[in-house]
Amino acid sequence: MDARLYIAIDPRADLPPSEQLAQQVRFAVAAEDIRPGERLASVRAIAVAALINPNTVGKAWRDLEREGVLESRPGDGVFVARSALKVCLAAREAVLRERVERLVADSQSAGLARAELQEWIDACWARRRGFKRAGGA
Amino acid sequence: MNESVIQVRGLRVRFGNKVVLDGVDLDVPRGSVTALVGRNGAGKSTLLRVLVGALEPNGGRTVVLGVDPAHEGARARSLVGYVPDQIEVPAWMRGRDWLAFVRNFYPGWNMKGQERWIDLLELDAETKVAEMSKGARTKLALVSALAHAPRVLLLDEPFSGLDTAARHAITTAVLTSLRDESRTVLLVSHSIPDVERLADRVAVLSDGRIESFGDIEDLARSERGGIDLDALLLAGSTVGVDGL
Repeated sequence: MDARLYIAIDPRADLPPSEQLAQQVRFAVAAEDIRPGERLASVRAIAVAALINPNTVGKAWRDLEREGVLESRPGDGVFVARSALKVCLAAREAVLRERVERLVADSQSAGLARAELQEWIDACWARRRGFKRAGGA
Repeated sequence: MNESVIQVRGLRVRFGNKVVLDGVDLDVPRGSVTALVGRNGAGKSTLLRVLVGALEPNGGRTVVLGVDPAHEGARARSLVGYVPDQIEVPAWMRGRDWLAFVRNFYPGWNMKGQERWIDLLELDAETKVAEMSKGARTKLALVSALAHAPRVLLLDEPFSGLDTAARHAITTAVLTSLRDESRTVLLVSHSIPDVERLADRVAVLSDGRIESFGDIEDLARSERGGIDLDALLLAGSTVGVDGL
């Protein structure tokens, strides 16, 4: 499997395995770890590498094809689609905005001051700077 | 995926007065990994034993790859790879001795395949069975189940009592065996994370019948009216099995 597409599936996470996989592919495209026109490893190779059922990989691939992230060329394989980057940047932004929304909601219900949350974010930002790793869900 | 390689119709098994299977209907589609789940004593292992012809049912019909195991047990066993929940191998044998013994029963035994599975599973086949860990014995059973390239693989609690490394190896081997796209797996397991990784379909056995059957992600995630795999498996679960 392509070393730049690092897949880690946690079967106990809230998202089902096929959606975790789809999410990690979207983030990898958004981070330009994999680029439009590149061919992905076979479904069965990815299933073994990610330790999930090949039909689960197939399900994720179908979802990603529908979204315009992947493109299947019969007899040739599955490729990152031309439209993928735009779609994945938007998808990544939606996920991150959702997480910020949740963080702010939790902070408000915990009675945290906005300045305090801002401080935590700044500290976290500084600590993680340089630790560049595009992660999925 | 529409062709069923295992068909079970109205299957009934009782032990004395105790009814274990009470009209089981099940179709396992070709190329799928179907998890058979249910509480302890639900009859999961009993169903697998019927499928390999080790147990004669009291009623109903089963067909495995076109063969009725109740009437042609030996033929059914030669087509199927089976890892039972209790692995009984003579303690004095080395792993390799066991494989040499078992291969006599399978015309399709592939020596190259045997060595490939031994390597992939990192099994020390020179060790005596008496000195093997539970994980090593399970690996040995899996090698003997896969070395004759069966079209159907039946696994009864293959992860029970194994450490993370052994479960990882078993999962990798089963997924690698699926590179043969016609292979079909029926898996009995209490370990939910392993079921969610390996399976694409799940059949829930309850009160002697199949209570629900379908796509694992649909069944495991439906909020209302759906099954809750965790709750279902809590009774008698293997404790301490977290994600790989």
